[in-house]
Amino acid sequence: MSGVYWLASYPKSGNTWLRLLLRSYVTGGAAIDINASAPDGWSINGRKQFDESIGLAASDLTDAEIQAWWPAVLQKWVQGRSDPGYLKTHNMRGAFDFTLGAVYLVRDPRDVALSLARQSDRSIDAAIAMMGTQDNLMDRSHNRLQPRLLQSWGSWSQNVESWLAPAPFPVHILPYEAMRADPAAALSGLLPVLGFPVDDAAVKAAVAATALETLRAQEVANGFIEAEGPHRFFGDGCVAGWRHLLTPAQSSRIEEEHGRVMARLGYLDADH
Amino acid sequence: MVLPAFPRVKLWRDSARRLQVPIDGLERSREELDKFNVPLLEARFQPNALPPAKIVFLRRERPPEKQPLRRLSGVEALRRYDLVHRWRLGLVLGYQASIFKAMARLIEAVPVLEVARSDNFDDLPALVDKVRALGEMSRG
Repeated sequence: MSGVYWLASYPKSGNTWLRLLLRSYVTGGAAIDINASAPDGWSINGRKQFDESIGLAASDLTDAEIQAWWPAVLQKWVQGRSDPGYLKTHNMRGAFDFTLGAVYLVRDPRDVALSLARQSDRSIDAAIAMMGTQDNLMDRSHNRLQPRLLQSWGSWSQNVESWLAPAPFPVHILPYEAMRADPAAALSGLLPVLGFPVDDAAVKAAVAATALETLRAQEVANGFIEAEGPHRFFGDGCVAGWRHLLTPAQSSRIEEEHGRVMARLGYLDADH
Repeated sequence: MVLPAFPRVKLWRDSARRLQVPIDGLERSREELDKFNVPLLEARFQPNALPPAKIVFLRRERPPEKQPLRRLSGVEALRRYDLVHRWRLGLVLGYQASIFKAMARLIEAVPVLEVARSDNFDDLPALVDKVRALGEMSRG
């Protein structure tokens, strides 16, 4: 059956690690090359595939035109397949009737801010501002051509709430912190949602093959094709690192802007 | 024969700045975009139809230096419909057979090459030299 399973998250919430885990799992827990091309059906290469699909260059289109055309490009991609696609997204949830299911990764936004600042080579305050920007569109091509197509991240809260809202397909919410604590259990829990059987031996092997130390070592040795700034893509994966690295004002700002959603996810202390 | 296109290129503001091409007073390619129609000086424009010598596609790669020059042949070259302007529109208008025949004749007549390039503007002069060298080879 064709359709799309989304591997969704706000950026810097473990999405890349999840995809590598799954890629290893579907090959029985084999070693992975972080720079290898995604298997067929695991990537729709934004700009190139968009241009080929519509026969026009996205670089000549406005943001609104790209957003209006993108669902049709996806629909066509799905119709051309006989089996499901597994696509990463940082977009807010869209109303695509070909969606079969989704895994949505969430992470404490205070840790997201640290990681986002490092990856985007911005200050922590700038990352916090980005996360608080309503209807935030990323990779907009205004005065230069961005390598990626426009992405509709929204604010951190908007992004999370779009995926937590009732959906006509199953959405498996996976906290990054749970994946760090017990990746095997996390992987086993989400496989059925994505239409995969659970093979305990392959789960164990996939977890071992995608240990953060392994991914970091590969990035140090060969670089990582998805890294954009001057800093390493794979950080220390630290949970609650914000407690040491955010100023009280920074953590308060995040809690003020996203407190309602954080409370919903259990990221705020009960006495907050 | 390859017919000349319009004597202009479209440049984003940052590309124009880096290439030191003045854009003051130039028309934008779209009102909403900081992308400009830059007219080509007569000296830099080839107004005459020329026979094709080579077709060079650029492909973004990281890192490009590890990717050798590739020659596309057979179906791989035939499927590069992006060579045809508005090819999707052509298909919809019923010109699929004409496009296919034209592509078949073209790839039979000239080599089709693929050159890896980076996103780094500093690499542009070397890329230009590489592509020009390919052109020189065909004349030699």
